[in-house]
Amino acid sequence: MQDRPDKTALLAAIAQFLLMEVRPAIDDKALGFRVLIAAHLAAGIAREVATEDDLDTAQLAGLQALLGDSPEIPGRSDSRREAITAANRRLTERIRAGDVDFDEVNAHLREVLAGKLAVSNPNFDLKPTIE
Amino acid sequence: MGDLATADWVPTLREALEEQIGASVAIDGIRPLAGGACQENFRVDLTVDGEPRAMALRSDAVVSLPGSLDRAHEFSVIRAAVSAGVPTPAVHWLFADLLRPGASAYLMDWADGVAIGRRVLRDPALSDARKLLVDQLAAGLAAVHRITPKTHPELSIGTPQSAGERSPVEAAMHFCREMLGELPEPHPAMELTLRWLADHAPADDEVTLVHGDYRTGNFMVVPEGLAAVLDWEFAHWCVPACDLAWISVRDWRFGRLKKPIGGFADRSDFYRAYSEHSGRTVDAVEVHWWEIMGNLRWGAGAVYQAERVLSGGEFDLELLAIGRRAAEMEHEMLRLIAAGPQEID
Repeated sequence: MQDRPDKTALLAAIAQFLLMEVRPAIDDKALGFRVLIAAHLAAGIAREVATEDDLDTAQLAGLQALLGDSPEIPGRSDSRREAITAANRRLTERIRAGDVDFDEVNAHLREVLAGKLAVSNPNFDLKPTIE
Repeated sequence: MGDLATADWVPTLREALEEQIGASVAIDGIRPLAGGACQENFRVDLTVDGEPRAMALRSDAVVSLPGSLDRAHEFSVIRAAVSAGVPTPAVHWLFADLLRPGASAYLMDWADGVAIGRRVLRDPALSDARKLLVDQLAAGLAAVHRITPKTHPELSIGTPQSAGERSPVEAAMHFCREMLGELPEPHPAMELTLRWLADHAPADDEVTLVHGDYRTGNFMVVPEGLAAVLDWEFAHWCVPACDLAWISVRDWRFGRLKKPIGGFADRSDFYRAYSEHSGRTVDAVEVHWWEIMGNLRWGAGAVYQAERVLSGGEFDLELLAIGRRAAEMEHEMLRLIAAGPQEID
Protein backbone atom coordinates (compact mmCIF):
# COMPACT_ATOMS: atom_id res chain seq x y z
CA MET A 1 0.00 0.00 0.00
CA GLN A 2 1.31 3.40 -0.97
CA ASP A 3 1.41 6.33 1.42
CA ARG A 4 -1.03 9.22 1.17
CA PRO A 5 -2.18 10.76 -1.12
CA ASP A 6 -4.03 7.66 -2.35
CA LYS A 7 -4.78 6.91 -6.01
CA THR A 8 -8.35 8.27 -5.90
CA ALA A 9 -7.15 11.64 -4.60
CA LEU A 10 -4.36 11.78 -7.18
CA LEU A 11 -6.62 10.95 -10.12
CA ALA A 12 -9.12 13.58 -8.98
CA ALA A 13 -6.24 16.05 -8.69
CA ILE A 14 -5.05 15.26 -12.24
CA ALA A 15 -8.59 15.86 -13.51
CA GLN A 16 -8.82 19.17 -11.69
CA PHE A 17 -5.38 20.27 -12.90
CA LEU A 18 -6.28 19.52 -16.54
CA LEU A 19 -9.64 21.26 -16.27
CA MET A 20 -8.72 24.34 -14.22
CA GLU A 21 -5.08 25.04 -15.17
CA VAL A 22 -4.24 23.40 -18.51
CA ARG A 23 -7.41 23.88 -20.50
CA PRO A 24 -7.78 27.66 -20.01
CA ALA A 25 -4.17 28.10 -21.19
CA ILE A 26 -4.79 26.36 -24.53
CA ASP A 27 -5.82 28.40 -27.59
CA ASP A 28 -6.10 25.47 -29.99
CA LYS A 29 -9.79 24.45 -29.69
CA ALA A 30 -9.27 20.88 -30.86
CA LEU A 31 -6.45 20.37 -28.35
CA GLY A 32 -8.54 22.02 -25.61
CA PHE A 33 -11.32 19.52 -26.35
CA ARG A 34 -8.93 16.59 -25.99
CA VAL A 35 -7.71 17.99 -22.65
CA LEU A 36 -11.36 18.13 -21.55
CA ILE A 37 -11.74 14.47 -22.57
CA ALA A 38 -8.60 13.58 -20.59
CA ALA A 39 -9.94 15.42 -17.52
CA HIS A 40 -13.28 13.59 -17.76
CA LEU A 41 -11.49 10.25 -18.13
CA ALA A 42 -9.27 10.89 -15.09
CA ALA A 43 -12.29 11.92 -13.00
CA GLY A 44 -14.11 8.79 -14.18
CA ILE A 45 -11.22 6.52 -13.23
CA ALA A 46 -11.16 8.14 -9.77
CA ARG A 47 -14.86 7.22 -9.37
CA GLU A 48 -14.14 3.73 -10.75
CA VAL A 49 -11.32 3.10 -8.28
CA ALA A 50 -13.56 4.21 -5.41
CA THR A 51 -16.55 2.03 -6.35
CA GLU A 52 -15.36 -0.96 -8.41
CA ASP A 53 -15.08 -3.44 -5.52
CA ASP A 54 -18.74 -3.00 -4.61
CA LEU A 55 -20.01 -2.70 -8.20
CA ASP A 56 -18.07 -5.70 -9.53
CA THR A 57 -19.17 -7.85 -6.58
CA ALA A 58 -22.81 -6.88 -7.15
CA GLN A 59 -22.55 -7.50 -10.91
CA LEU A 60 -21.01 -10.95 -10.43
CA ALA A 61 -23.58 -11.89 -7.75
CA GLY A 62 -26.36 -10.82 -10.13
CA LEU A 63 -24.92 -12.89 -12.98
CA GLN A 64 -24.51 -15.95 -10.74
CA ALA A 65 -28.13 -15.66 -9.66
CA LEU A 66 -29.31 -15.34 -13.29
CA LEU A 67 -27.21 -18.27 -14.50
CA GLY A 68 -27.94 -20.50 -11.51
CA ASP A 69 -24.27 -20.64 -10.49
CA SER A 70 -23.13 -21.12 -6.91
CA PRO A 71 -22.52 -17.75 -5.27
CA GLU A 72 -18.73 -17.49 -5.11
CA ILE A 73 -17.01 -14.11 -5.25
CA PRO A 74 -13.21 -14.29 -5.87
CA GLY A 75 -11.18 -12.18 -3.45
CA ARG A 76 -8.83 -10.73 -6.06
CA SER A 77 -10.24 -7.93 -8.23
CA ASP A 78 -8.71 -9.26 -11.47
CA SER A 79 -10.21 -12.73 -10.80
CA ARG A 80 -13.59 -11.05 -10.22
CA ARG A 81 -13.35 -9.27 -13.57
CA GLU A 82 -12.41 -12.52 -15.34
CA ALA A 83 -15.38 -14.23 -13.71
CA ILE A 84 -17.70 -11.40 -14.85
CA THR A 85 -16.49 -11.64 -18.45
CA ALA A 86 -16.89 -15.43 -18.46
CA ALA A 87 -20.41 -15.16 -16.97
CA ASN A 88 -21.36 -12.43 -19.47
CA ARG A 89 -20.19 -14.71 -22.28
CA ARG A 90 -22.44 -17.52 -21.05
CA LEU A 91 -25.33 -15.09 -20.59
CA THR A 92 -24.80 -13.86 -24.16
CA GLU A 93 -24.90 -17.43 -25.48
CA ARG A 94 -28.15 -18.07 -23.63
CA ILE A 95 -29.68 -14.85 -24.98
CA ARG A 96 -28.72 -15.91 -28.52
CA ALA A 97 -30.28 -19.32 -27.93
CA GLY A 98 -33.47 -17.67 -26.64
CA ASP A 99 -32.95 -19.44 -23.33
CA VAL A 100 -33.54 -16.52 -20.91
CA ASP A 101 -36.38 -14.67 -19.19
CA PHE A 102 -36.31 -11.35 -21.04
CA ASP A 103 -37.61 -9.19 -18.19
CA GLU A 104 -35.31 -10.77 -15.61
CA VAL A 105 -32.20 -10.24 -17.75
CA ASN A 106 -33.37 -6.74 -18.68
CA ALA A 107 -33.70 -5.79 -15.00
CA HIS A 108 -30.23 -7.17 -14.21
CA LEU A 109 -28.62 -5.35 -17.14
CA ARG A 110 -30.25 -2.02 -16.36
CA GLU A 111 -28.94 -2.22 -12.80
CA VAL A 112 -25.43 -3.03 -14.04
CA LEU A 113 -25.61 -0.19 -16.56
CA ALA A 114 -26.78 2.25 -13.90
CA GLY A 115 -23.62 1.37 -11.93
CA LYS A 116 -21.38 1.79 -14.99
CA LEU A 117 -22.96 5.12 -15.89
CA ALA A 118 -22.60 6.50 -12.36
CA VAL A 119 -18.87 6.02 -12.97
CA SER A 120 -18.47 6.96 -16.64
CA ASN A 121 -21.04 9.78 -16.87
CA PRO A 122 -22.77 10.83 -13.60
CA ASN A 123 -24.74 13.47 -15.55
CA PHE A 124 -26.48 10.82 -17.65
CA ASP A 125 -30.19 10.95 -16.76
CA LEU A 126 -31.26 7.36 -16.04
CA LYS A 127 -34.97 8.14 -15.83
CA PRO A 128 -35.58 10.90 -18.36
CA THR A 129 -39.13 11.98 -19.10
CA ILE A 130 -38.62 12.07 -22.84
CA GLU A 131 -40.41 11.03 -25.99
CA MET B 1 -0.63 28.64 -48.73
CA GLY B 2 0.53 26.55 -45.80
CA ASP B 3 2.75 23.50 -45.39
CA LEU B 4 0.61 21.39 -47.64
CA ALA B 5 1.71 23.32 -50.71
CA THR B 6 4.69 21.01 -50.84
CA ALA B 7 2.70 17.78 -50.43
CA ASP B 8 3.58 15.58 -53.37
CA TRP B 9 -0.06 15.17 -54.42
CA VAL B 10 -0.66 18.90 -54.94
CA PRO B 11 0.94 19.10 -58.42
CA THR B 12 -0.86 15.86 -59.31
CA LEU B 13 -4.17 17.45 -58.27
CA ARG B 14 -3.49 20.52 -60.41
CA GLU B 15 -2.58 18.46 -63.48
CA ALA B 16 -5.58 16.16 -63.03
CA LEU B 17 -7.88 19.18 -62.71
CA GLU B 18 -6.51 20.84 -65.83
CA GLU B 19 -6.97 17.61 -67.72
CA GLN B 20 -10.58 17.14 -66.54
CA ILE B 21 -11.62 20.80 -66.92
CA GLY B 22 -9.60 21.68 -69.99
CA ALA B 23 -8.64 25.07 -68.59
CA SER B 24 -5.78 26.55 -66.59
CA VAL B 25 -5.97 25.85 -62.85
CA ALA B 26 -3.99 27.48 -60.04
CA ILE B 27 -4.10 26.10 -56.49
CA ASP B 28 -4.05 29.16 -54.23
CA GLY B 29 -4.35 27.44 -50.85
CA ILE B 30 -4.84 24.08 -49.19
CA ARG B 31 -5.41 23.48 -45.50
CA PRO B 32 -6.46 20.36 -43.62
CA LEU B 33 -9.89 20.26 -41.93
CA ALA B 34 -11.02 18.13 -39.02
CA GLY B 35 -11.63 14.79 -40.69
CA GLY B 36 -14.21 12.13 -40.14
CA ALA B 37 -13.33 8.62 -39.08
CA CYS B 38 -12.94 7.36 -42.63
CA GLN B 39 -11.94 10.33 -44.76
CA GLU B 40 -9.45 13.16 -44.88
CA ASN B 41 -10.85 16.62 -45.65
CA PHE B 42 -9.14 19.76 -46.95
CA ARG B 43 -10.20 23.27 -47.83
CA VAL B 44 -8.92 23.98 -51.35
CA ASP B 45 -8.89 27.42 -52.95
CA LEU B 46 -8.59 27.30 -56.72
CA THR B 47 -8.48 29.74 -59.59
CA VAL B 48 -10.10 28.07 -62.58
CA ASP B 49 -9.75 29.98 -65.85
CA GLY B 50 -9.31 33.22 -63.89
CA GLU B 51 -12.29 32.60 -61.55
CA PRO B 52 -11.69 31.91 -57.81
CA ARG B 53 -13.48 28.83 -56.45
CA ALA B 54 -13.64 27.67 -52.82
CA MET B 55 -13.95 23.92 -52.55
CA ALA B 56 -13.57 20.99 -50.16
CA LEU B 57 -11.44 17.97 -51.04
CA ARG B 58 -12.54 14.65 -49.53
CA SER B 59 -10.18 11.69 -49.75
CA ASP B 60 -10.36 8.10 -48.51
CA ALA B 61 -8.39 7.72 -45.28
CA VAL B 62 -6.14 4.76 -44.54
CA VAL B 63 -8.87 3.08 -42.49
CA SER B 64 -12.63 2.98 -42.94
CA LEU B 65 -15.57 2.18 -40.69
CA PRO B 66 -17.69 -0.93 -41.25
CA GLY B 67 -20.63 -0.24 -43.53
CA SER B 68 -19.19 3.01 -44.90
CA LEU B 69 -18.85 3.97 -48.56
CA ASP B 70 -15.56 4.86 -50.19
CA ARG B 71 -15.29 8.28 -51.88
CA ALA B 72 -16.00 6.91 -55.37
CA HIS B 73 -19.38 5.51 -54.28
CA GLU B 74 -20.08 8.56 -52.11
CA PHE B 75 -19.47 10.71 -55.21
CA SER B 76 -22.16 8.85 -57.18
CA VAL B 77 -24.63 9.03 -54.27
CA ILE B 78 -24.15 12.80 -53.87
CA ARG B 79 -24.64 13.31 -57.62
CA ALA B 80 -27.97 11.49 -57.36
CA ALA B 81 -28.93 13.47 -54.23
CA VAL B 82 -28.17 16.82 -55.86
CA SER B 83 -30.29 15.95 -58.88
CA ALA B 84 -33.13 14.79 -56.58
CA GLY B 85 -33.14 18.24 -54.95
CA VAL B 86 -31.42 17.47 -51.65
CA PRO B 87 -29.65 20.63 -50.42
CA THR B 88 -26.13 19.27 -50.43
CA PRO B 89 -22.95 20.73 -52.00
CA ALA B 90 -22.42 19.62 -55.60
CA VAL B 91 -19.47 17.31 -56.27
CA HIS B 92 -17.31 17.83 -59.32
CA TRP B 93 -14.23 15.81 -60.07
CA LEU B 94 -13.35 12.30 -58.93
CA PHE B 95 -9.70 11.26 -58.81
CA ALA B 96 -8.24 7.78 -58.27
CA ASP B 97 -5.02 7.30 -56.25
CA LEU B 98 -4.63 11.02 -55.42
CA LEU B 99 -3.31 11.10 -51.83
CA ARG B 100 -2.03 7.54 -51.94
CA PRO B 101 -2.52 4.45 -54.13
CA GLY B 102 -6.04 3.06 -53.75
CA ALA B 103 -7.49 6.24 -52.20
CA SER B 104 -10.17 8.03 -54.23
CA ALA B 105 -10.84 11.72 -53.70
CA TYR B 106 -13.19 14.34 -55.09
CA LEU B 107 -13.83 18.08 -54.91
CA MET B 108 -17.11 19.55 -53.76
CA ASP B 109 -18.45 23.09 -53.48
CA TRP B 110 -17.58 24.80 -50.19
CA ALA B 111 -20.50 25.34 -47.78
CA ASP B 112 -20.33 27.88 -44.96
CA GLY B 113 -22.25 27.56 -41.73
CA VAL B 114 -22.34 25.84 -38.34
CA ALA B 115 -22.40 22.04 -38.10
CA ILE B 116 -21.24 21.39 -34.49
CA GLY B 117 -24.26 19.87 -32.77
CA ARG B 118 -24.17 21.82 -29.51
CA ARG B 119 -23.79 25.12 -31.36
CA VAL B 120 -26.59 24.33 -33.82
CA LEU B 121 -28.88 23.76 -30.82
CA ARG B 122 -27.74 26.67 -28.64
CA ASP B 123 -26.32 29.52 -30.76
CA PRO B 124 -28.70 32.51 -30.29
CA ALA B 125 -27.93 33.61 -33.88
CA LEU B 126 -29.55 30.37 -35.07
CA SER B 127 -32.83 30.59 -33.11
CA ASP B 128 -34.88 31.38 -36.24
CA ALA B 129 -32.95 28.77 -38.18
CA ARG B 130 -33.96 26.09 -35.68
CA LYS B 131 -37.64 26.77 -36.40
CA LEU B 132 -37.07 26.57 -40.16
CA LEU B 133 -35.04 23.36 -39.90
CA VAL B 134 -38.09 21.18 -39.21
CA ASP B 135 -39.62 21.74 -42.63
CA GLN B 136 -36.32 22.07 -44.49
CA LEU B 137 -34.92 18.82 -43.09
CA ALA B 138 -38.22 17.00 -43.71
CA ALA B 139 -38.17 18.20 -47.34
CA GLY B 140 -34.53 17.19 -47.71
CA LEU B 141 -35.19 13.72 -46.33
CA ALA B 142 -38.24 13.27 -48.58
CA ALA B 143 -35.96 14.10 -51.53
CA VAL B 144 -33.38 11.51 -50.43
CA HIS B 145 -36.13 8.91 -50.21
CA ARG B 146 -37.31 9.63 -53.77
CA ILE B 147 -34.12 7.88 -54.94
CA THR B 148 -34.81 4.16 -55.22
CA PRO B 149 -33.07 1.14 -56.79
CA LYS B 150 -35.61 1.48 -59.63
CA THR B 151 -34.98 5.18 -60.34
CA HIS B 152 -31.20 4.81 -59.93
CA PRO B 153 -30.14 1.25 -60.87
CA GLU B 154 -26.65 2.57 -61.62
CA LEU B 155 -25.91 3.28 -57.91
CA SER B 156 -23.78 0.30 -56.86
CA ILE B 157 -24.25 0.59 -53.11
CA GLY B 158 -25.29 -2.12 -50.74
CA THR B 159 -27.62 -2.69 -47.92
CA PRO B 160 -25.40 -2.61 -44.81
CA GLN B 161 -22.30 -4.76 -45.18
CA SER B 162 -23.35 -5.79 -48.71
CA ALA B 163 -25.85 -8.17 -47.24
CA GLY B 164 -26.89 -9.73 -50.52
CA GLU B 165 -30.56 -10.57 -50.89
CA ARG B 166 -31.53 -9.81 -47.29
CA SER B 167 -34.35 -7.36 -46.58
CA PRO B 168 -33.26 -4.04 -44.99
CA VAL B 169 -34.50 -5.22 -41.58
CA GLU B 170 -32.63 -8.53 -41.83
CA ALA B 171 -29.55 -6.78 -43.22
CA ALA B 172 -29.44 -4.28 -40.35
CA MET B 173 -29.71 -7.09 -37.79
CA HIS B 174 -27.09 -9.13 -39.65
CA PHE B 175 -24.74 -6.14 -39.69
CA CYS B 176 -25.05 -5.68 -35.90
CA ARG B 177 -24.72 -9.41 -35.24
CA GLU B 178 -21.49 -9.54 -37.26
CA MET B 179 -20.13 -6.44 -35.51
CA LEU B 180 -20.94 -7.85 -32.02
CA GLY B 181 -19.29 -11.13 -33.00
CA GLU B 182 -16.04 -9.32 -33.73
CA LEU B 183 -15.84 -7.50 -30.37
CA PRO B 184 -13.44 -9.04 -27.84
CA GLU B 185 -15.82 -8.70 -24.86
CA PRO B 186 -19.39 -9.98 -24.57
CA HIS B 187 -22.10 -7.28 -24.54
CA PRO B 188 -25.25 -8.88 -23.11
CA ALA B 189 -27.31 -5.66 -23.30
CA MET B 190 -26.66 -5.44 -27.04
CA GLU B 191 -27.41 -9.14 -27.46
CA LEU B 192 -30.68 -8.80 -25.56
CA THR B 193 -31.61 -5.84 -27.74
CA LEU B 194 -30.81 -7.79 -30.89
CA ARG B 195 -33.01 -10.59 -29.57
CA TRP B 196 -35.87 -8.12 -29.02
CA LEU B 197 -35.36 -6.62 -32.49
CA ALA B 198 -35.52 -10.08 -34.07
CA ASP B 199 -38.72 -10.89 -32.16
CA HIS B 200 -40.37 -7.58 -33.17
CA ALA B 201 -39.09 -7.09 -36.72
CA PRO B 202 -41.37 -4.81 -38.76
CA ALA B 203 -42.83 -5.92 -42.08
CA ASP B 204 -40.92 -5.05 -45.26
CA ASP B 205 -41.36 -1.50 -46.49
CA GLU B 206 -40.45 0.25 -49.72
CA VAL B 207 -36.68 0.24 -50.27
CA THR B 208 -35.20 3.70 -50.89
CA LEU B 209 -31.86 5.41 -50.56
CA VAL B 210 -31.21 6.43 -46.95
CA HIS B 211 -28.60 8.97 -45.95
CA GLY B 212 -27.61 6.75 -43.02
CA ASP B 213 -26.30 9.55 -40.78
CA TYR B 214 -29.04 12.21 -41.10
CA ARG B 215 -28.73 13.94 -37.72
CA THR B 216 -27.77 17.12 -35.91
CA GLY B 217 -24.01 17.53 -36.37
CA ASN B 218 -24.15 16.57 -40.04
CA PHE B 219 -26.23 19.56 -41.19
CA MET B 220 -24.59 22.86 -42.06
CA VAL B 221 -26.83 25.58 -40.59
CA VAL B 222 -26.89 29.35 -41.25
CA PRO B 223 -29.27 32.01 -39.81
CA GLU B 224 -31.62 31.36 -42.76
CA GLY B 225 -31.83 27.68 -41.84
CA LEU B 226 -30.44 24.57 -43.53
CA ALA B 227 -27.44 25.32 -45.76
CA ALA B 228 -26.27 21.82 -46.56
CA VAL B 229 -26.68 18.15 -45.72
CA LEU B 230 -23.21 16.63 -45.24
CA ASP B 231 -21.49 13.28 -44.64
CA TRP B 232 -22.94 10.72 -47.02
CA GLU B 233 -20.54 7.87 -46.21
CA PHE B 234 -23.22 5.72 -44.57
CA ALA B 235 -25.74 6.02 -47.42
CA HIS B 236 -27.29 2.69 -48.41
CA TRP B 237 -30.49 1.07 -49.66
CA CYS B 238 -32.83 0.69 -46.70
CA VAL B 239 -36.30 1.85 -45.63
CA PRO B 240 -37.26 5.50 -44.88
CA ALA B 241 -37.95 4.73 -41.20
CA CYS B 242 -34.20 4.08 -40.73
CA ASP B 243 -33.44 7.78 -41.38
CA LEU B 244 -36.61 9.03 -39.63
CA ALA B 245 -35.53 7.26 -36.43
CA TRP B 246 -31.78 8.01 -36.51
CA ILE B 247 -32.32 11.77 -36.05
CA SER B 248 -34.01 10.98 -32.69
CA VAL B 249 -31.27 8.75 -31.26
CA ARG B 250 -30.63 10.19 -27.81
CA ASP B 251 -26.98 11.07 -28.36
CA TRP B 252 -27.90 13.25 -31.37
CA ARG B 253 -30.10 15.42 -29.14
CA PHE B 254 -26.91 16.83 -27.58
CA GLY B 255 -28.48 17.22 -24.15
CA ARG B 256 -31.82 18.67 -25.38
CA LEU B 257 -33.59 15.44 -24.52
CA LYS B 258 -37.12 16.82 -24.60
CA LYS B 259 -36.83 17.69 -28.29
CA PRO B 260 -36.80 14.22 -29.85
CA ILE B 261 -36.05 15.42 -33.38
CA GLY B 262 -32.34 16.18 -33.22
CA GLY B 263 -32.68 18.22 -30.01
CA PHE B 264 -34.64 21.01 -31.73
CA ALA B 265 -38.17 19.78 -32.64
CA ASP B 266 -41.12 17.61 -31.65
CA ARG B 267 -41.82 14.36 -33.41
CA SER B 268 -45.32 15.27 -34.59
CA ASP B 269 -44.17 18.46 -36.39
CA PHE B 270 -41.33 16.69 -38.18
CA TYR B 271 -43.35 13.62 -39.16
CA ARG B 272 -46.21 15.81 -40.43
CA ALA B 273 -43.81 17.85 -42.57
CA TYR B 274 -42.15 14.68 -43.86
CA SER B 275 -45.54 13.19 -44.76
CA GLU B 276 -46.48 16.34 -46.66
CA HIS B 277 -43.25 16.34 -48.65
CA SER B 278 -43.02 12.59 -49.24
CA GLY B 279 -46.63 11.44 -49.44
CA ARG B 280 -45.74 8.66 -47.00
CA THR B 281 -47.27 8.05 -43.60
CA VAL B 282 -44.93 7.63 -40.63
CA ASP B 283 -45.45 4.44 -38.62
CA ALA B 284 -44.64 5.00 -34.93
CA VAL B 285 -44.01 1.30 -34.29
CA GLU B 286 -41.59 1.04 -37.21
CA VAL B 287 -39.74 4.23 -36.18
CA HIS B 288 -39.48 2.93 -32.59
CA TRP B 289 -37.89 -0.31 -33.89
CA TRP B 290 -35.36 1.64 -35.98
CA GLU B 291 -34.56 4.03 -33.10
CA ILE B 292 -33.62 1.01 -30.97
CA MET B 293 -31.64 -0.36 -33.93
CA GLY B 294 -29.95 3.04 -34.26
CA ASN B 295 -28.85 3.01 -30.62
CA LEU B 296 -27.56 -0.54 -31.09
CA ARG B 297 -25.64 0.45 -34.22
CA TRP B 298 -24.09 3.48 -32.47
CA GLY B 299 -23.39 1.56 -29.24
CA ALA B 300 -21.61 -1.26 -31.08
CA GLY B 301 -19.85 1.35 -33.22
CA ALA B 302 -18.59 3.12 -30.09
CA VAL B 303 -17.00 -0.10 -28.82
CA TYR B 304 -15.59 -0.77 -32.27
CA GLN B 305 -13.97 2.68 -32.47
CA ALA B 306 -12.11 2.21 -29.17
CA GLU B 307 -11.04 -1.28 -30.27
CA ARG B 308 -9.39 0.20 -33.34
CA VAL B 309 -6.95 2.00 -31.03
CA LEU B 310 -6.64 -0.86 -28.53
CA SER B 311 -5.82 -3.37 -31.26
CA GLY B 312 -2.83 -1.35 -32.41
CA GLY B 313 -4.34 1.43 -34.50
CA GLU B 314 -3.15 5.01 -34.39
CA PHE B 315 -3.31 6.56 -30.90
CA ASP B 316 -6.48 8.65 -30.50
CA LEU B 317 -7.70 9.65 -27.04
CA GLU B 318 -11.15 10.64 -28.32
CA LEU B 319 -11.75 7.21 -29.91
CA LEU B 320 -10.64 5.48 -26.69
CA ALA B 321 -13.01 7.63 -24.64
CA ILE B 322 -15.90 6.81 -27.01
CA GLY B 323 -15.58 3.14 -26.01
CA ARG B 324 -16.69 3.99 -22.50
CA ARG B 325 -19.78 5.73 -23.86
CA ALA B 326 -21.32 2.48 -25.15
CA ALA B 327 -23.11 2.02 -21.80
CA GLU B 328 -25.14 5.17 -22.54
CA MET B 329 -26.51 3.71 -25.76
CA GLU B 330 -27.06 0.32 -24.07
CA HIS B 331 -29.11 1.95 -21.34
CA GLU B 332 -31.12 3.86 -23.94
CA MET B 333 -31.89 0.70 -25.96
CA LEU B 334 -33.32 -1.01 -22.91
CA ARG B 335 -35.21 2.15 -21.89
CA LEU B 336 -36.79 2.43 -25.36
CA ILE B 337 -37.81 -1.24 -25.30
CA ALA B 338 -39.52 -0.73 -21.93
CA ALA B 339 -41.12 2.58 -22.97
CA GLY B 340 -42.62 1.27 -26.22
CA PRO B 341 -43.52 3.33 -29.31
CA GLN B 342 -44.56 6.97 -28.94
CA GLU B 343 -47.99 7.96 -30.13
CA ILE B 344 -47.93 10.43 -33.00
CA ASP B 345 -50.69 13.05 -33.10
